[in-house]
Amino acid sequence: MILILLFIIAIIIAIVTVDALRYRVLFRMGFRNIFRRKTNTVIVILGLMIATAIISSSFGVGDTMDNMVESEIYDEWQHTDVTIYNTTEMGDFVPISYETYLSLRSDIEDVDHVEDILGEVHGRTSIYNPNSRLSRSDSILIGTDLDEGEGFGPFYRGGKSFEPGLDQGEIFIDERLAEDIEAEKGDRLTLFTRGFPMGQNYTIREVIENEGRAAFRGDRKVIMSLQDGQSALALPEQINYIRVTSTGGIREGAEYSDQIAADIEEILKEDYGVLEVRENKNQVMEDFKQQMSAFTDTFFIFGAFVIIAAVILTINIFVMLGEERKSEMGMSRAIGMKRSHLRRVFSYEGVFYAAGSSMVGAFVGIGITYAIFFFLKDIFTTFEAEVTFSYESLLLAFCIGFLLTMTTILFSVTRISKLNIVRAIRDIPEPPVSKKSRKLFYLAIGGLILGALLTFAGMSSQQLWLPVTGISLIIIGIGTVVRRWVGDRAAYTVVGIFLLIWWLVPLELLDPFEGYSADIEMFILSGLFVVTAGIMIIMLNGSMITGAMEKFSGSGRGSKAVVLSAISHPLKEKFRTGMTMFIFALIIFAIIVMSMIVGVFNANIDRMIEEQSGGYEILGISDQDRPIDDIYGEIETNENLDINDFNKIDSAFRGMVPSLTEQGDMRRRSVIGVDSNFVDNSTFAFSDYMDEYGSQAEVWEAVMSDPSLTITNDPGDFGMPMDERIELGSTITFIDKDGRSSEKMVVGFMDQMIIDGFFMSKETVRTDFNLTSNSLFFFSVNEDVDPDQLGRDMQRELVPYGFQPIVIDTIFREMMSAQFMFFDLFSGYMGLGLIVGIAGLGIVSLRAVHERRLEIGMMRAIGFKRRMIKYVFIIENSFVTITGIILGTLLGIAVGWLLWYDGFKPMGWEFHIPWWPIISICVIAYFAMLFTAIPSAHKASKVSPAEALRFD
Amino acid sequence: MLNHIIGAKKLHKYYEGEVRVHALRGVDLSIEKGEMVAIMGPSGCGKTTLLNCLSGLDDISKGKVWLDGKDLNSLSDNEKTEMRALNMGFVFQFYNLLPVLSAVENVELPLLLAGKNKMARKKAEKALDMVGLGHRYDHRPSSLSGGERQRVTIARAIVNEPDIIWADEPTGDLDTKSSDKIMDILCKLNEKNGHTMVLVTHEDRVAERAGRTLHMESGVIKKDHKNGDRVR
Repeated sequence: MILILLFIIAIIIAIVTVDALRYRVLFRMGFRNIFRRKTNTVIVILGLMIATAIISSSFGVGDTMDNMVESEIYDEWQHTDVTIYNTTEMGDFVPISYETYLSLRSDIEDVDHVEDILGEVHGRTSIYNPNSRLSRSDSILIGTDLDEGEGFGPFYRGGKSFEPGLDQGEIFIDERLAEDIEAEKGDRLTLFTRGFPMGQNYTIREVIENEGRAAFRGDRKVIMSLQDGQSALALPEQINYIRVTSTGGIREGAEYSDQIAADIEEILKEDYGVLEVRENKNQVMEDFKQQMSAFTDTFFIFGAFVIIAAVILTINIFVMLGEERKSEMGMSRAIGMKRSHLRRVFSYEGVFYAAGSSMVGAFVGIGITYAIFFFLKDIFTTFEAEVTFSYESLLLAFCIGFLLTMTTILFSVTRISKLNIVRAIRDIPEPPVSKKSRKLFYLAIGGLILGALLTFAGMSSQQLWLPVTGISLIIIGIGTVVRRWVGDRAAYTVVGIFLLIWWLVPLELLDPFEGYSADIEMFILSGLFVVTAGIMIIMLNGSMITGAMEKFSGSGRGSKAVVLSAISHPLKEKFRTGMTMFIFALIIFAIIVMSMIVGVFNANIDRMIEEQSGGYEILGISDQDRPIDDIYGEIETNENLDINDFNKIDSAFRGMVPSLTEQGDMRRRSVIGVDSNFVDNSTFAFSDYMDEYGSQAEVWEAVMSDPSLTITNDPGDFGMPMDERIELGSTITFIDKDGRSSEKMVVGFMDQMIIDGFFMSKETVRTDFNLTSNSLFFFSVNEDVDPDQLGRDMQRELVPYGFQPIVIDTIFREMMSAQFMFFDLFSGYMGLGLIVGIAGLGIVSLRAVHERRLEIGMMRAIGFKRRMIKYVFIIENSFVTITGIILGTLLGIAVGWLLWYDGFKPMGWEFHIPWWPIISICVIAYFAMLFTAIPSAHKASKVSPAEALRFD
Repeated sequence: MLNHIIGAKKLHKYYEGEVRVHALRGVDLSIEKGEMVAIMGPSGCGKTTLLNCLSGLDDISKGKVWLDGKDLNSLSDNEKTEMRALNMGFVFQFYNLLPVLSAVENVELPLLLAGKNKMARKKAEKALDMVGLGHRYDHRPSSLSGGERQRVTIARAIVNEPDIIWADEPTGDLDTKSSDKIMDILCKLNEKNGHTMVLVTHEDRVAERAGRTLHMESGVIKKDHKNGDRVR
């Protein structure tokens, strides 16, 4: 990719160089123009570099994420490259005899690049420290042969490796676990395991680091000898987990892991069918990177608004440069310069700007990446993000930035070069495009054809953006044809109104497009079209604004003159003003839509928690090895827990059951067996169920009595696999305990995302999948009880069962808080677009002072005071900014409402406009603009009338 | 027609806009090679429009214009541009020099555009010498006086030895002394080199130095007389 782009850039530069040698005088003109007004050049480069900076920062986010993922994987996997194991429906590792392992081991030793193999027992344990009375229910237990596995690296403590040794009854625990339960070397801990459900005491021999051999499978880990491990997990003379390391070391070994995994799979297929290669380092890394790329892509997509704004700014800058040199260009044309010569002069200049700005932008992107991760550190609390920027990314950002800027420049100069010589020489404005313009007519016909093609393409691909964009182009095309008879103002005002209606109409009213898929591109397109529509309406009806301003301009001395002078100029320069307004409106629009989403979430968070909780406050999970058959009795008999704190307690069976996907692949799915108490007590709402049932109760009744039916989460909710379409009436093929197909039809969707799985009756899961014990619990507590404290108490008291509480309110608020932080970050990222707007306005202001020196001189001569000139410029900039801000805000609120109407209203959520954040955004945007406008206004007010009137 | 280097028949020009302006209303005109013609008239009468239409700077709305026997309507934009580069020179009221180029660079520009790179610099210097600016070759327009700038413009107009020189208010922005100097140069060029010259002016003093004067009113030529010969 980079090579192709570099090749294209090299060709462009070669063409420009050869061309410049041929037209030296034109090159000289272009080159000297760069240094003509140095301040302008700096502003131009700063303005042009923003698009590259955004592209560069999104690559920076990608690189940092990749590096973070690689570091995480290398840190955790260390020397381990391939894992071999299998799991049961209950999530346990399938054991094999030690003898079988030895046989397998000798087979694997022959595989190329395999350095060492280690057979271990892995399982879960709950740990209790009697000294501190602290416990952990979710620790990993590993029983390993310390005399073997040299290839997996040493153990570490206090920063140094040591020779490991464990007597019977001794364990290593890692630093994180030691910290959690406040344990140290020599302490005695009680471990609850399948082999010792009533608990067994062990002494800590060492508190070790998660480094080297002990790093694998993350933190909160207990390591004991293989024999002790086999006893603790009730696996005598067995192992259930095999690790393989390659000859390549920690990083280089990953390169061999795919090949080693494939070779081992062949061996397993032949003689060891019960085991499978489950993970290999390279694959895990790639999968993880794939997941993270969605995050990087999101940055790029949100950055698209800023990139669009930056492209508009580039066009604006060049159009203004064109206007500034209009008279020279007219004269040049008069004495024999062709249009292509004018394009050349600007293109030579443009190459320098594009190269300079892309270079600066690529480096500024690094700074933005640092800023992003500075804010992200609060979100990624478990990861350590070290900002990384590869040379390739820097180069790619430069290439894309250069080509984007250059393309925009070429587009702009083509427009600039089409000037009328006489009007250019005399510096008089271009007349409006003729009603009978053939070119516009052909463009309109092109638009209509393209619109129709997009609409038809959308109908076959079921992608919503295609027909919606297609019909928008058709609306614009019709308007452009009709303008021949009714003129621009009437035609495009109506086009603008129709576009707004079209993009703001709720989806439910668009029957033909029901079921079409839509993604974030709709957000970007809606922004582009509604803002364009709004700008069209405003700019074409400027006289109404002038009239209104005239009315409300007050009766102060000279105030009417100031206001009219201020707004007449931007309304006269429609293209320039429209473009600047567009930048402001688009960015404000994007930020407001984000605020609206956050606002709606915030306003409905209590309702959402209530809906998601299903009437329960705490969810509990016990270790499947150590189920709690009678949770009620367990609490009632526990002297540290009070059964009166609870309103209701329900329990369920749960397990991971193999099933076949539509493509015939094997996938384990979560299955939950519930009883009539759960059905009666829970208040989980359904988002949809099959028509043949009259109510939710009937759906539950059917599922409880018919073993071929199931209920699952709404596929639209987070956490559900999106790679397959589960619909009402879909049949899921599970594999039952005897290896036969067991088909279950989905008859309802529960509108919750707290428990993921397929709900059936306890009887069905017992009969079909041999899931027989309670390991999932639902607690409703009294109002005066603190669920967080009760959760902690239950975790401590039920530690023998590996009990883990989930306080629904807390977990949801944490989830939403992380979500909101992302929204804030994206808003901040898009806020960079405001810099584009402000830079754009800064350039317009500076240009305006220069362009209107004569006018300023005249105004001063006829009685405008310095102060009044300053006001004229501030009001002028304020008019452009405030109009853009108001337009962006109104459209943002409208699209926010639309998102609520289509997405949240059906769930019963309230609409909410977060006025305070919206007002804050608007005020910040306005004052940021003043920051640039005031200096140019000040400069204008300093213009001496005598000098200005002599100015050439 | 053979001796007519410039010709126009029923020439009309409309400016479209909020209000349609009929700037030229059927102008018939012919100018012979080597003539020096002044176009006079009140503001808004169509003098500059006529010059622009005759020189091909602006498109005409109706009628025909011939330049050196070629129908302007039949030429493409590039052909018209080439014709301007090779056969015409322009002098404007506000000089319209390129600020980023020095005096000599401004003057050599038409030669370079016409592909006459060889001797371009020498010819440019010679042209500047002719207008009395031999000492200002490397000065940029911002460091020249109004009269000097206009002389650079004239040098630029004559550097490619054009058949026709078009001048729109060449002295409009100058004082009497500078104005006389500019007219001396233009008359000398007309007499010595035989350049056909069409100049738009509102000053009788300037028009009197031309061999022929056209008086325009409301888009038509009301009077056409040779100096000394008066109304024809």
